[in-house]
Amino acid sequence: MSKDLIEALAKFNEDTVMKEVNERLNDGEDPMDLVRDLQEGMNFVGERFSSGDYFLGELMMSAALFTRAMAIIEPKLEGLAQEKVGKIVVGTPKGDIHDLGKNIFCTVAKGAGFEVHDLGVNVPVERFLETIEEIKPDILGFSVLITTAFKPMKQVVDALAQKGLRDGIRVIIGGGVTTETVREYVGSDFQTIDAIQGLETCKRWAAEMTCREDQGRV
Amino acid sequence: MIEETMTAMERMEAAVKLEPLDRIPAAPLLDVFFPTRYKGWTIQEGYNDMRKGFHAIVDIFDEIGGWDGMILPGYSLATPHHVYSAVPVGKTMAPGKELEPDDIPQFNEREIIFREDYDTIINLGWNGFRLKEKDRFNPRPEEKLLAWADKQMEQYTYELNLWKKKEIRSLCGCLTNSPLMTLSTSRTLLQITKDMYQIPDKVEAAMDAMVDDMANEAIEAAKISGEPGVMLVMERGGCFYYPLKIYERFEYPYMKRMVEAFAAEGMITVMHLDQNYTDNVSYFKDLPAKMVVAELDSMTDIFKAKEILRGHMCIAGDVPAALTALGKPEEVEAYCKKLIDVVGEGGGFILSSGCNVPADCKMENLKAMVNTAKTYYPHK
Repeated sequence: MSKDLIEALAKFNEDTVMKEVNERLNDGEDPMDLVRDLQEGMNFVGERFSSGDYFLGELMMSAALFTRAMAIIEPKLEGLAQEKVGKIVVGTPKGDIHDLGKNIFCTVAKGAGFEVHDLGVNVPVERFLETIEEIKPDILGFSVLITTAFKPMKQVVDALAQKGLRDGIRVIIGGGVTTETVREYVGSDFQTIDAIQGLETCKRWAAEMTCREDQGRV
Repeated sequence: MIEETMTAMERMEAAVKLEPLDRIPAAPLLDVFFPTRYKGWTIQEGYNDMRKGFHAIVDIFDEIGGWDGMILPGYSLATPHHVYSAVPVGKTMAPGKELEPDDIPQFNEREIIFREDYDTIINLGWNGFRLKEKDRFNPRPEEKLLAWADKQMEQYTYELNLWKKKEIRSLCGCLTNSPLMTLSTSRTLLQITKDMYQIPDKVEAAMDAMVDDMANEAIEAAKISGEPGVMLVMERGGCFYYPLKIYERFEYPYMKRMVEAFAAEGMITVMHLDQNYTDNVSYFKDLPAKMVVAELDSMTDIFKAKEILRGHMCIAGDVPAALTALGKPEEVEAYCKKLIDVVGEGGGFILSSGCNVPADCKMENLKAMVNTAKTYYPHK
């Protein structure tokens, strides 16, 4: 574990992060070690955000740097076994093109070891459903910033129920305009305006699901 | 019903000046989207035809039986007759063009001002920069840009005049952004954040070069429109995004300078504060007393804001969009009563929507909001 890399990510030091990543890959180091260091760095940033020491701007800078570093590492990961803590499908529903919160959530979720399928913005209901049937995620996430996106979220969740898929998926909604009232309307399991709080909930769900699977095996 | 002893205009002015009220005034921030949907039109129909869209707003006002004032008159922009004023630094995705006809237009935040532009801004000022880079932001000929500006201003004054015939006023004679808001949306939130951490002196110098141009342009616009008030939009500087050290250096000094420039001209400022500003509210006590309205969107703790700003600044807000879109009228009424009880105590409060009335607001909820202001006032 490299404290330099973890600290550089946590302090948004772009030059150090990129230099460390490139040098260590060139030295033949296992790319999974680098991924683990970067994840550790994002965990540290997430903790500082949760404790109020970091703000969204700082979380965003670290997340962007994590994405940049992972873009270099990812080609080296092909063929290597990567343990994922769970699968998440995320998108901003049709009619809404805001992506700031979604992008931050996707990055911190990847940083925590989730397999994230980001459908982007302005995503039609059908595309959510097709992807869910194909990917079979553990978690479905919606990110919204305008009220007209409430209805498409509900349509997706209702359609999942009709198809008998709702019980197998946890649904989380986020974004500045969401409230408990919106959570109830959509029929989601959790609502937040805080990407790290959302991530912590997903981690808890993933642990519960793993626990259930383990119990099933026993 | 409450026995009214003030006109709507007197009530709004008294709220801003923290004077005694006969009841709390209601002034929703109502643009064309909800009225357009309520008419059964697509958003495109109301958005593209400014006159038609504006009259849909007026029809809502009439159907509800009126309220006390507008925050902005409609959806037009008071734009002075300058090429730089008509150059939009940013791209909005429009219904019927980049979006479906019934989608809400949304700002497409992409990096269109770059790090190397700071030196040009520092050397030429904000107006000079926009003129120099006009074709990058909008390649249309100058006469077309000026014709657009004139059309906007004509519509804006039309709207203001119509409201005066209805015996209410708009608080704002124009709208502008803080330098941070402008750079945040044109550099992108990520890039401006990196700039403030990595090249803070350069950003500060650029903001120094921008602020007076921006303030003077707003003053000119408000003088032309004839309504002595400015909406100052700030959605990106509060404690949701940044620590106070960033706010103190890159947002507060510039917004203060703009507010003071407006006040020196006798103009009030409506600070449009979307997102959470709870930790920033105490700074507002240094702004000119009784010349500013803190317009909150439900993310800032409005009750804490009242504790801090009591006797110094009017507060407007903050019925949440989710509540008016999904809630029941009795829930809206209960929330409005709570606002009037706590934030309305001692005056200095305008009951309004938290940010814009959402496109999918229920009419009965907007009615409940306005009617609560008209019928509930426990402080006499």
